[in-house]
Amino acid sequence: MSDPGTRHRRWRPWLPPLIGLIGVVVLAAGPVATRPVAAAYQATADSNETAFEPPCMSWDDPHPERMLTLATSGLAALGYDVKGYKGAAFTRAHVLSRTIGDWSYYVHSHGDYYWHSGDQRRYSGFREDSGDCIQSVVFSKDIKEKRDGRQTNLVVISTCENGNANTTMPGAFGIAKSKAGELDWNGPKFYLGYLGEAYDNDEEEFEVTFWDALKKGKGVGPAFDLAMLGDFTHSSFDADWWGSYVWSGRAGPGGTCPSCQ
Amino acid sequence: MPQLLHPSFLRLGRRTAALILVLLGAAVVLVTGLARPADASDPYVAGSDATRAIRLAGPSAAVVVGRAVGHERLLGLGAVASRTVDRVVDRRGHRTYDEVTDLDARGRPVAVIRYGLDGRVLAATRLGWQPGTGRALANGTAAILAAVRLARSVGVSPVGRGVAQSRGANGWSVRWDRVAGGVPVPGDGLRLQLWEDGSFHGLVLSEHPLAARPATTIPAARAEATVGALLDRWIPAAARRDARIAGAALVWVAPNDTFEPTRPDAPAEVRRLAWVVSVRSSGALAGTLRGLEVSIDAGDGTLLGGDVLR
Repeated sequence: MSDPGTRHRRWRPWLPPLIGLIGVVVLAAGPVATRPVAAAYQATADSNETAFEPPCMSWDDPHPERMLTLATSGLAALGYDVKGYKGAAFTRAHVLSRTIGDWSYYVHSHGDYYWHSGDQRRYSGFREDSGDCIQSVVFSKDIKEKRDGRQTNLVVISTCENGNANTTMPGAFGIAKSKAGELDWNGPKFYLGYLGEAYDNDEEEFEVTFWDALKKGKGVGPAFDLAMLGDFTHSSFDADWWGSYVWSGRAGPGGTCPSCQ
Repeated sequence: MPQLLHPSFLRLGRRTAALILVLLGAAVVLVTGLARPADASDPYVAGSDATRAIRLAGPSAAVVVGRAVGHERLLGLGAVASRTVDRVVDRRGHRTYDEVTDLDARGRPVAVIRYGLDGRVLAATRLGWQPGTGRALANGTAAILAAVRLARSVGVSPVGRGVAQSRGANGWSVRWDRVAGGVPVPGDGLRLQLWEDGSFHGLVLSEHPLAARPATTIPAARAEATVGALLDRWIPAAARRDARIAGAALVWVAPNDTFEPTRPDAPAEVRRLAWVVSVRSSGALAGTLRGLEVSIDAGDGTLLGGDVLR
């Protein structure tokens, strides 16, 4: 039987190379800036897939799932505790329940400036999935009431019409429709939406670059500008933003304007 | 004294030392493997890195910076304190380019210029919200003239008819869509973004390879009939009458997986000649689906892909 002390000493020379090996593997896993941090900031990503697969359609459109993957991957890299929902899990009730705790929100669905019969006026909104072919509208008004002024970080409304000048969706998340450039600061928040009718291929072309740039630590404004360099197949495609250009996109109430000091 | 030269390490048995060397070797292989840039044969999968970059230095970076210095001045990109140069593999876009990032005195990125490996400008953007302080451009014609001047200054000659689109406070978008053999290539061509006063915001130049044109082209009516049959299959009978074919146009398209999810996540690099059949919806169907574009191979009538308007 070997002496425990001797056995312990036999392992000592292993420690430096093993520590080095672990260090090398951690470094190889990616730059520190793009690795998810310990997250306490809830984010929700919803995507309407049922409208574009059986039973509502007999083909299975891959855009909704793929764009959900892009969003959840991007938000996780920014430090959000993100959960993705689609199908029967993405309902109006689910959106309004989760939004109370959301620091960030992403949705890919059918969007418009919908008539609200109760208020006899229009609000911006988008449709739930609900796992069936009858899909209720989630109005900006509904979200605004639930959030009640709660602070928001990043909001990406991947639908038609929700980047229009008259959209009421940013206000639902407490984001004013104003742009803070290099020497200004609207707080750690950013809203992204598309103007008019936007096809899925163009939205995906934009979002692939947007999320990729955010994951690489470029910040929300540069990510938007880089995404606008895409090869959009419809000449009418356009996107707009409101919030702070210089914000990093990282989760939480912090963040500063690095160029304001 | 380095730990690997420490007497206690040198006294290890051969088997232990060999094992340590194997572990270190594995680490080296792992790191070099992960750091290796992707190439065109590495297919893009959604959620993975769309682009991979390696930092260039020395003479290869100097050549690229040499080009950028002149272009920064011509585009009015402002004071640049330093630059980084990366060789970027765009896995989804099937291209590789050199990207110069201009940094200000505090190390903040202020502009990006991309060059093809042949040295041509592919894209540029002045980062930031800088609506400009000059007098606003009077109209679309003025925007086109400003865009032509900027494009030519960096060696890009617009081809065809320019179209200007006002973007409100975001300025102007001016585009020259590529046309090959009389047929549009959507997504290809030259597009400039200008601020309201005509100063430079962005430029992108795209030109994808085209497949050989088919010897004979099927008539538009056959493509529309094919799509009509697909709609009969795709859309439930009760809603079928709410989807109508609005027309067909001959264009070069990137085959994709819109109607065939088993195809690759990235649209194909090579554009194929297709009839793009537009479908618009009405009634209850329009509540979730505004329209479709279905691409039918202009040569053999097969389904190449399409697009969805939610």
